[in-house]
Amino acid sequence: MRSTGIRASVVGVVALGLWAAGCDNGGDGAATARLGVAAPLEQFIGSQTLRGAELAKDEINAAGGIRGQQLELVPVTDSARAQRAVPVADGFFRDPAVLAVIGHSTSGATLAAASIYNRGIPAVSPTSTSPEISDAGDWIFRMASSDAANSGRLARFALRELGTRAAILYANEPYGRGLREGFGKAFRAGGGQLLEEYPYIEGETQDFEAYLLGIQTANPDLVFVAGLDVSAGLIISQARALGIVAPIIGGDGLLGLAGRDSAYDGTYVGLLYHADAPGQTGRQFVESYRSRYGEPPDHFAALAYDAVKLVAQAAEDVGFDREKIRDYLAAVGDGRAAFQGVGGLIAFDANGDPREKNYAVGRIMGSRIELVSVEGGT
Amino acid sequence: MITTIRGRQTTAFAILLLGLLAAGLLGIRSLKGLSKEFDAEMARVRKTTELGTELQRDVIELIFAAEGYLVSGSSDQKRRFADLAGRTQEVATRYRELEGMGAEEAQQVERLAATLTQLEVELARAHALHDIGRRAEARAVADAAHPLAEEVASLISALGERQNQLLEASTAALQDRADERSNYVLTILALAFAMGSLLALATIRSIDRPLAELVSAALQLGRGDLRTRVSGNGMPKEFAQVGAAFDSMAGGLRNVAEQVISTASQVSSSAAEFSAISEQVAGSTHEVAAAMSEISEGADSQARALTETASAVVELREGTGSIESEANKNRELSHAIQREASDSQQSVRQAVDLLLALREVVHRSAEEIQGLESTSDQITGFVRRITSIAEQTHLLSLNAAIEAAHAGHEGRGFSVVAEEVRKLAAEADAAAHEVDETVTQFRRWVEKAVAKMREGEGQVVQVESVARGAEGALDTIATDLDRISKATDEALVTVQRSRTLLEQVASNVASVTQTAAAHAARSQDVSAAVQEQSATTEQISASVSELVTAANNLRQAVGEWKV
Repeated sequence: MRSTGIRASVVGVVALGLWAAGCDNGGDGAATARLGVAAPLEQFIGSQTLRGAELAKDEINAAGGIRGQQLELVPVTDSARAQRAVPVADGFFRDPAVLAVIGHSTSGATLAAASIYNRGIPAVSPTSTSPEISDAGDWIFRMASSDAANSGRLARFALRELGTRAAILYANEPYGRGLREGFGKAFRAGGGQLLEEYPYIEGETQDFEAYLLGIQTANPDLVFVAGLDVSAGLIISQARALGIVAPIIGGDGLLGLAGRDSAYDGTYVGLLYHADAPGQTGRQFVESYRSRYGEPPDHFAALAYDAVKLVAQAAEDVGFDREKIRDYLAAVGDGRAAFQGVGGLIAFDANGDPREKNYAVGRIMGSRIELVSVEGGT
Repeated sequence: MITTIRGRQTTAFAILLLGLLAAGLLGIRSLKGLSKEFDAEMARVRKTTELGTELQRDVIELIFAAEGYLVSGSSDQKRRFADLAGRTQEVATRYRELEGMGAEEAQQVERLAATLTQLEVELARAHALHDIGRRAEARAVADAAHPLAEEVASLISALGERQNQLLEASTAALQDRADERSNYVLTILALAFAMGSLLALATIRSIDRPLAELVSAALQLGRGDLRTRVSGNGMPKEFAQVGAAFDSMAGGLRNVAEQVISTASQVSSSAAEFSAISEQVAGSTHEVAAAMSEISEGADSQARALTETASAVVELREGTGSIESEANKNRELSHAIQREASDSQQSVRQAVDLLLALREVVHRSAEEIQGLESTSDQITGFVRRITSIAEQTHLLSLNAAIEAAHAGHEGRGFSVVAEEVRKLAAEADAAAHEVDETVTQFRRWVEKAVAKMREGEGQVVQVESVARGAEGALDTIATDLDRISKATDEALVTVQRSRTLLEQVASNVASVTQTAAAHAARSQDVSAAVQEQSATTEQISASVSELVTAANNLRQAVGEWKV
């Protein structure tokens, strides 16, 4: 009787140890705090996001980690696709060692994954800008201002600088639709005219000829491309090939076009962050980033950097508890001090959106993005 | 451990009731929880179904609008197409917001949304081709999009199917949980029943055994074994109490029996003595009767003496009354003296004041007289000047007479004048001496007057101190009188209190006198009774011999008891 009891407890202890080791992913046993990073890693957006996150992580660990534990990032790609985002989110949710998720970088992925995160793991998206994110749930936060505001700023810039007749090509997913709706509303409200609005599928649609011919016929002053850089690159190349010369403007999703093809030069892009924008803090960050990666940080990197720093600060303060981290984040700027990030001051509203962040417009010139204008207000 | 039957019964009932209550509460809670979960499940399924139906309808309309535009080229159809595209996306968003979505459902929704997106894009492409005149291509693209619509439909039904499966699974799970809960309830009930029954059995057993013990002990006692006892150990408290009562009753009985036995023998031996004593008693009774008549007489004389005492007390009381009236007079007298003293004091004070005023006047007069003295000094000075003038004038007149003599005849007239002047000077000198004497005389008077004044002043001071002494004495008299008056008052109060006491004493003496008289009367009754008692004693003697017989019988009867 007695020996079986002991044997049973030995088995139990061994099983417990195995389970603990499994949780640690077979690591060297050193205590770690984990953050999931969900981004299209194989794409420009994702690699930039990861760069910012890595820089933040290394700085945190150099300063002693979180509560004496080393911070570890768990990067998983969602390919900026809603359908892939769901299993990625589910994986993070099921891993108890993951305190929170930095992601997703794109609005569609963030929205699709939200229902998983709302079961109880905080997610801080660096660059999701869709207005729908505001209502995505209590566990979803973001470092970027909503496209409800950003698209209006882009529309006012376009009306002021480019002309009053516009055609729109939009990615038929939350980011594209959000940008299109906000831009269209503000453009019309400012006296502009929308000639054509065409949907496409981000990353899938290859042939834009029919749309571009329609646009050529309509002959607008500008073409607004509401989508990400992958499809936007095709659109711009095909448009220029057809001889369409109208200036092209898009949101922050087009940032990845810089330096890829001279055909993209002159494209206007919305910027959630620009290293040269007046009033930006965090010169130290720019220098660290530049010395490490040989180029200035863009907004994907800067806001991912801020997101990691913010979540680390929360975990340092309240401990390794998902719910407490969520409560901490919800109180930032409302009960707790606002967070001074390199991309601006973060104070969350009730929807987990940052209040009053500036938005800039830049122009792609070779590999650089030249700051054209800083658009404030809503 | 519960030691009373009542306690055991109460506990058994309480356990049963608590068990029932717990089972009931658990049942109700489970039912509520289960029905709430079931409602939530049902609501989700209903919502999914509604969304599916709505989406299905919108997709059909979307295709209809798209086809319509391709045929008619109407901008209305194009706008309708755009509206419907927006609406279908909204429905997809609402799918995402459904509560309780698992990863699999979330992915199904994303697949549905992606297919919808694709369908819309393909139809939009068809429209674009139509717009730039490539109708055949437009037609082909639109046709190629139709399978996407079918896929949307099948995804909607798959979602519905999935929801149904989930519902079935959760219904089964709920059923399992309901079974589990009902098992809990049954277990609790069974446990409560078992514990209740055990307690009831234990109670019954704890009644049976001590009852039998008590019955056998009672029977033994009935047979005359007064040593019988019931052991109280291991009995419920109630029986232990009955046992203790039984034991103390048996103990009591035993004591009584022992006493009865010993008393019986004592009684029989005492009865003989008693008989002899009763004879003596009869003799004594006669002596008592004689003594009683003496007592009766004594009581009478006591009553008389008391009556005399009462009258003496009344006299004393009256005497007290006269003391009181004397004291009252005394008090009035002292008040009168006090008033007189106070009046005298007043007069003395006035006299002193007058004396003080007089002293002041005398003092002032002395000063004024001293002023006169200095005036007389001035007069003396004046007289000296006149004397010296008279002497010079005399010298002058002599010289003039000599000059006149030198002049001869012509100087005769002048020598007459000089002679006259010399006479005048002599007269003036004489007058001055006269004045000087008068002044000296005057000053002596003044000095005498001043001395007298000072003497008078000293006497006034003496009188004043005497008057002050009189005033103080009067003060002391007044204070003493006040004290006397107060003492008199106190004496009066004491006298009054004494009188009250004396009145009480008088009334007490009266009542004692009455009582003494009554005693005197009673003692005569007693004397008669003693004579009757004497007769009774004879009868007692007879009864005592009967008692001796009875005591012997009793001793025989108790001899059978085991004590």
